Amino acid sequence: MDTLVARYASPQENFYSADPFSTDDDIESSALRPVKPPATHTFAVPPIPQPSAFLRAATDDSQNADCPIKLAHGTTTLAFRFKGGIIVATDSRATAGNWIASQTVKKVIEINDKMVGTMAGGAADCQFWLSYLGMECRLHELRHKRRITVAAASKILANIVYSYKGMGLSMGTMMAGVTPTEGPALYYIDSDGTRLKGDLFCVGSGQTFAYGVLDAEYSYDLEVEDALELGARSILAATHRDAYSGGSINLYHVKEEGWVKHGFRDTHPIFWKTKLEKGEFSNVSTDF
Amino acid sequence: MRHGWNPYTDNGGSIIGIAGDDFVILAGDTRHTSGYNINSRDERKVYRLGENSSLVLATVGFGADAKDLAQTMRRAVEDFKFQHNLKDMTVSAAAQFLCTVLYGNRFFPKYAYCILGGLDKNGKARLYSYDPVGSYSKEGESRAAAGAASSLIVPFLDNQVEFKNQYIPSSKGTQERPVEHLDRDTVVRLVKDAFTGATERHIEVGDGLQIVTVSAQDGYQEEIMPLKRD
Repeated sequence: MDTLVARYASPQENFYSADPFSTDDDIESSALRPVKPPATHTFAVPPIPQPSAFLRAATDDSQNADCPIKLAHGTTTLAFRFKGGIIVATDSRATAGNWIASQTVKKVIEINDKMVGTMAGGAADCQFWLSYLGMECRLHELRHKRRITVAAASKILANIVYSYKGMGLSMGTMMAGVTPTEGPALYYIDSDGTRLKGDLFCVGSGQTFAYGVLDAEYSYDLEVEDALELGARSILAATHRDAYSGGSINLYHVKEEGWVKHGFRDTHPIFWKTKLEKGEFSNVSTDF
Repeated sequence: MRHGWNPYTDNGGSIIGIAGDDFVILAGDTRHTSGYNINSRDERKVYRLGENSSLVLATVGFGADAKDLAQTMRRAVEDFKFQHNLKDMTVSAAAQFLCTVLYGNRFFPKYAYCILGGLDKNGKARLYSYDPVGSYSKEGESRAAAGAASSLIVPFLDNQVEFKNQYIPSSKGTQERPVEHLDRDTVVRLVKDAFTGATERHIEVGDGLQIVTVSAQDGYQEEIMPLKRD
């Protein structure tokens, strides 16, 4: 028990010496602490001079087509801020080379009941580090007696992936949440260490197709119904043109009370409904 | 990197996992190959995680990595028992642990595809499948396949377990056939069909089929069915 307390109580030192007039910026700077897994969790590394070159040769199918270990990749994800909160939408396909490994992947990862993250790039990297982040966020709540801001949470993640830079992590993620201090907040973080705040992002192999639809129709003043529809329509466009995207459309609405799920719907019937009932995709013929 | 350091061998073979309502079946062929050579005809790929455990792990890929993972898991399940007043590790806990083990090797991956099966507290079947660095679905799945012949087996399972692209005949292709839990005999038959089929068309699959069933009623059962040995 003592070791448990010691492990999780370390930030107490600066907790007491903190400036009593601290703002949320200071809270955010506490996120600058290098957050790494505890010493009990260490990574195995191959006994050679260039581990990352080995990893690339063994696992990166874009560099080495017949690499032995094929990891799940390929995606379209998007998120945008509007007056009613944030819409988050993704496809659900996972590919390993040309092989469709799964059509039912959950690419929206629920960090807690108010915050979600999206998954693009390496499936395991996103799943592992976002659930690790979920733990850090809970610890932040216990230490500071208030919910972590999206700014601080995203910075913890960015600092982690930056500390592993060049080691071969692959992730492009968006974090969306609503907090009392920030309101609806959206951040983009990737494994290069990039962290951007913004109103609208599309990430993944199908991002350009999603941007095409989203940029054309987006407005901050969208009604909730229309915003959900736009999110789904943008993913549909991407699944139609990007072979690495497909499966189902996973829709989330993030608002003040927390996130709300709006279905995990198969693209196939939605495509034909969109074409036949709305007259879109008129370039696609119904017969051969 | 053409002449890089290569610590892996693909030892071929395939594994399948199918979850029913209150039983789970994991199966794998018993051929062990490297390149065009057959090293063994009776090397099993499905491991029971402890003497009286309901947890079963099937691994395929590089035999040595697969075996090491099975051993790590078996020890973890045993240690858990002794550290928690002889309480058994739950399937969901074992599933999360396997994810952590695999991701712990993120920078030196285990070349092993894993399928983990077992029964939960209520005796309901749970099945999880993993990529080599630990990505898995917490909700679990109804069917999974991995290994050399997975591209032959998965489409068959999609059609026969999830009833993909099956429609109610009278509806003229408008109404999908509803998904239902399969009974044990049907699942065993599907597994045997999948492997006899894969044996016909994949050189790395054959010799024997190890079928492990864990069910709420009958506990752990293991069967070996001969496959073609050519």
